[in-house]
Amino acid sequence: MVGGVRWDSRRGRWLPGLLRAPDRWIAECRYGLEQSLHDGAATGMSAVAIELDLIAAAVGDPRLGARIDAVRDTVCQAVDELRHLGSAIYPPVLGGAGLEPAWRALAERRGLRLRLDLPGYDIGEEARARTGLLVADYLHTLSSATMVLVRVRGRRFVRVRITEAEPGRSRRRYFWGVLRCA
Amino acid sequence: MRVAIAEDGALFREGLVLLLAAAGHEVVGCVGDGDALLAITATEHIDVAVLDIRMPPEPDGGLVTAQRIRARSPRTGLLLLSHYAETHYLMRVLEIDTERIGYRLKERVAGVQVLADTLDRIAAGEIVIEPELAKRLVEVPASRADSPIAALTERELDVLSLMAEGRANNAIAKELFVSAKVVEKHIASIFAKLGLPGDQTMHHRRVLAVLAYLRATRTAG
Repeated sequence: MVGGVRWDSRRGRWLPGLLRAPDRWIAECRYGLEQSLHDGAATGMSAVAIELDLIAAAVGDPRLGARIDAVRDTVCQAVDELRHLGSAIYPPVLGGAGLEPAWRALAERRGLRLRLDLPGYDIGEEARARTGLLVADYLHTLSSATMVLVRVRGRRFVRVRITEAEPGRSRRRYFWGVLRCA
Repeated sequence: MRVAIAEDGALFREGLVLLLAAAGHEVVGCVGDGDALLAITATEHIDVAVLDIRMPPEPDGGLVTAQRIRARSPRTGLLLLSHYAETHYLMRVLEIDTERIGYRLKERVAGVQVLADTLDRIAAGEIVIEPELAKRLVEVPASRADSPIAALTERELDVLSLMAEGRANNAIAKELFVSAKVVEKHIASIFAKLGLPGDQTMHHRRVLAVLAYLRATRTAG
């Protein structure tokens, strides 16, 4: 996803690293996977949690009830794991709400300081999905408190530029990517 | 209490019906999409409607339907459920209304006690927010020096977090093992530090406090 960045000793700065965006098929596939996880496994396990709660309430034996409660907690933890997995595969609000809410949600969870410079027009469904995944995947690699500026321009050829400054590091790093969209 | 459910996952929907029955509530409708729920609210009296956020009409049919129900029947409580605790969803919920409404994770309300408590609070006019989300919203802006939340003490953050969950003063006092008087003092201090106007009603200011750190979260960085 992320190409290596190189240090330009003559100019005293990092050269921009290349970001590779997922193609359309990959973006659709990831969307489908997240939907399957959400509608299938996660919803099914939440239903199991309900059943366990009802069973725990029905049994007369307090020790058995406590064991059922423990299993229920385990199921809830598993749902939590699925939630993290689903978010990593495809940000849950990217499809419905767009780039900014999806990236802000991710930055909030990872403790990043995110600034966005986005076009004032709709870049289209395909570009939104692929750009969204490109930047989301990148944000997943950053450590907490990193400052990130994401700039997006273009429509058919979408250009993405990310500027990042990790806490404790004096130099900024730059990444860029271009997506050709239908 | 008369409750209607709209959830596209059949297993979870049936589970909710069992939970509600166990809690002594009457399920007057149980459907798989927002439009069908809207049709039920047109003919039936419903105390609280339970809606999955991600259901037809896609992508966020629950939020769209909730907005329509609130416009049509303002007295009907709304409980929105999701597998994700997202700030974006919370903002949408708060745009719909700040009273008689809730947003919770599915697996966290998957118990008779929790679901009954959540519905009671919504029917009583409160706003109920998933504790995990409320906690995250308080912690993130608090870690930033430029946030108004940064001026709050650790104890005030605890109080604010519980306020964001929709807890009343007595419930906060019980949770933190202090008196209601102490909680009132903390809340007055929070309002002052966040610069919330003094001419609002207490309930309104509580909601404004929640919105203050929502804004802090979204504008920081």
